[in-house]
Amino acid sequence: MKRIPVYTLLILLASCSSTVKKQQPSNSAGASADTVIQDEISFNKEKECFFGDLHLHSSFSADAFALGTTITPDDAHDWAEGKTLEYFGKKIQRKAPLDFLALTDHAEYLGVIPEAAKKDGQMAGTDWNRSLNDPDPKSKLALFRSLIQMAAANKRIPEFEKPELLRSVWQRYAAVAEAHNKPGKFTSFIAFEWTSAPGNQNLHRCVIFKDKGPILPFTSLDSQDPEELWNYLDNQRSNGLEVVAIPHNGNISNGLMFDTEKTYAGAPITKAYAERRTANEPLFEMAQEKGSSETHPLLSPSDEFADFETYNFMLGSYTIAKFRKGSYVRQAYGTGQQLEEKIGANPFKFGIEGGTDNHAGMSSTEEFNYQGGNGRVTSHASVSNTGDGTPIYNSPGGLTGVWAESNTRASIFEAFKRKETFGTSGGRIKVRFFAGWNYEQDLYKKEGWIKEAYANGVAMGSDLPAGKSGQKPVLLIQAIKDPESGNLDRVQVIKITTKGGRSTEQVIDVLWSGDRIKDPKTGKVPSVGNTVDLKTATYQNTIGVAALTGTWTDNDFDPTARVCYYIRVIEIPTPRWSTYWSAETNQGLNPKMPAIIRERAWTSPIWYTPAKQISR
Amino acid sequence: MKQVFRNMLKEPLLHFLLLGGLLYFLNSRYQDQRHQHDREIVIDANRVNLIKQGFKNQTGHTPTDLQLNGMIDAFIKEEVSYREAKKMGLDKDDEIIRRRLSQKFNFLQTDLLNISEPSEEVLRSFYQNNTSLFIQVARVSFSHLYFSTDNSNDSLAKQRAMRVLADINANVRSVTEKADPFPLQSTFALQTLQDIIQNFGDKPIVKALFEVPINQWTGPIRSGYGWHLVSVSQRDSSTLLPYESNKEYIKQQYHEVEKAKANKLSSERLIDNYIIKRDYLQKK
Repeated sequence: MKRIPVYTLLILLASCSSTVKKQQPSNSAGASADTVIQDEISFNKEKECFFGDLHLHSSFSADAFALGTTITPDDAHDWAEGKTLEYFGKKIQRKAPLDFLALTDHAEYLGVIPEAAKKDGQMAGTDWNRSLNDPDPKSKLALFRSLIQMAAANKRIPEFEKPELLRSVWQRYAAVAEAHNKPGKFTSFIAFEWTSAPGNQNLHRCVIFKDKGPILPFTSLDSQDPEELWNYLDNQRSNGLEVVAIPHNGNISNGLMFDTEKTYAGAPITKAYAERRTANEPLFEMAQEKGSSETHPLLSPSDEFADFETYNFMLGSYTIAKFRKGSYVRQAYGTGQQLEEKIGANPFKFGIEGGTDNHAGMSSTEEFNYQGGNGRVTSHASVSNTGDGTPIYNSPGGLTGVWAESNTRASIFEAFKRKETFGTSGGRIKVRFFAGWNYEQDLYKKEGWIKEAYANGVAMGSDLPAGKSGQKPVLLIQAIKDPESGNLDRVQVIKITTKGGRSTEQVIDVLWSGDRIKDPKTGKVPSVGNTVDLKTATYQNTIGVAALTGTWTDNDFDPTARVCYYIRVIEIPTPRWSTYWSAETNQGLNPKMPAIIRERAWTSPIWYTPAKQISR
Repeated sequence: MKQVFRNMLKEPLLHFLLLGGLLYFLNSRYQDQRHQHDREIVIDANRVNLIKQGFKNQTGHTPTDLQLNGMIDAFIKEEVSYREAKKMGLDKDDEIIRRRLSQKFNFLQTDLLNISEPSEEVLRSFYQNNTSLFIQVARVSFSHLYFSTDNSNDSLAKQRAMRVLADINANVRSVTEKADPFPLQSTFALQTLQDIIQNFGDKPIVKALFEVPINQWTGPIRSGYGWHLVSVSQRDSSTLLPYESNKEYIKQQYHEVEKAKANKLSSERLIDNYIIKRDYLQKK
């Protein structure tokens, strides 16, 4: 349960929904559909870029259902695959379909509320069934309040504690992902969200299975301690399943997400804990509906692009989360390396992905095509002008890019484990980078350079093994724009260096459009300009470029320090979703958030550890 | 006298007057009551709780008495201005209010009907009559040359593409212009319409690839990246999905189509209750 403040309207609109298991068309008359599809799976050794959402909610999440979301797990897949949905009487669809999806409904009573609302369902005749179908808004309001209270107190609801019911709803949910998984065309993972939020501090993890799913998900009612979640994951592995957990929203964890002092249970951080954490949690969600977790503008005052979709509200409240320590990724990369100096392992050695966390069942990350994140309560009126509440601070959320050989569960899941992944602020910028000691400066101009990049160096998400004395790391970088969005402004290397218990961060402009010259004083490339017309919510791709490719050598490299590098790609200015909405309705702009957005992508890092000190 | 009285009783004018008087009397009583009701603003415990809760959600604590009284006064003020605005008809031309109410109504109105399972016969004829729903989409394979607008401009890039096309057509060996390296592939195989939208953006190139002649360089055509010359090597046409192996899928399409039909019908029935005057169609 996340959003308390917005429930008056939704109660009016909340309604029950049903799931229809959808069949996919098969183009073979006799042979099994599998064989036909198998033939068509393309395999690219040098890897292709696939985009997907690893964090999404449908009506099967109790909070989403209460918010009036009627989009079922099945509809949510349809939307991701680019099919048309009817929404508020409008026919809508993603302009560019996604390649994969992990629908991550909240594990806590997953699918139980829609089931409880069904007139002929397993809970027909109970008080819950009556209240959920009571036309009187007051009754639903009371129900929603009690749900919120239960969630805040992390309390079980006795009427829902029916193993039979929980299992059957979970199986039905998992079957939807199975039905939509079409190897080579669209990948769907069986997944759920473990919703631990002690004292409104976000510790949520999305749990994603490589292939088959479990008998039942693990809920925050079972435990709020991430180490207990890892025990559950270990159990699943001993049952032959492969699974990872991906945390998100460090920004609203109140400093708990990347705590360097103690574990959730209060124990000191040990080498074993650190290794267990990275083994279970190879990735972190950089951006989503509730803001970005890269860094806070006050933590990175010299980074002019740091204030991006900054979101501070603790879950279900208007309390501002603490951010100084333990909440943001960039800082965690440094503190993780510091811990590694001390204990011999880095608990924060994670790669990057992006998700929406959309609660309306739609991965609607296209800024110009955003449908709102809160089911049926994100109305135009609530976000334009002076509308209050959290919707104006929400963003359409991010996407995950992976570099994988094929669009299949196995191939994409292996990319998660390799961390050959990146996150975007919602667009489909394609970015990859490599590090090596011997790359030629203009290797990227040669035919087939990707092959050589893999052969003579390491891809993002990896460790760069030590080089020979005097050598400097060379980064090989390529960023390609989203063909449906703004051109690219610049590519930056973000370098975090740790030595003797101290970490420093540097943001270095390395590739950029046009003939701009770095300011000799600040070392920064001047602004790319701005073509956004706020009145009409339009922009021109007359500035910026379609692609930025090149090499960068780290001339300040210190071989005795721990270093990690990640890439940030910045687009030219484009209108924020709220600007599109206000132009559409002729409403004034809401001053609470910027009208212009700098869409971006962040890669997983490449780590360097001084010789004989590598930890994994 | 009796006769006169009887005649009077039969007099329609009297009936009219009596009935009219009664109606007048009832209406004025009703108006009085309504007027009274219109002017009443009740702040009950429920309302106060809502106000308190709203405050708590925003600030994290319950309001003090002073704050609560302030908010109750503000609520009264808001309610009064809301009612006055409604009296003045200010809600009438408000696009947001209109749309919101219409959305709420549509939401309550749609999908009310249960669609029954189709018989084999019905399903088969649905399939035969709706072949467009069961088309295996066409795919296209092509090569392309890319002309980047990066650090240049749109018309220069387009002109370069046109010169290269002229060279190709004239079979010139030493071309004066060269295409730019494209950061993705230079050949694409078996791309559906959606694949091309994903890879190139929803731009003119999408339509063009399904229209241009086979094995012939054509262009320049715009994509989300810049200008292109394209040569389509292969284009398969759409085929119909076989009935037997796609029954479930066809059934599901049937349900969707029937549901849409029912929704449309109920909406049309509602519209039929209204007299629509399309004045704009009349000649001046």
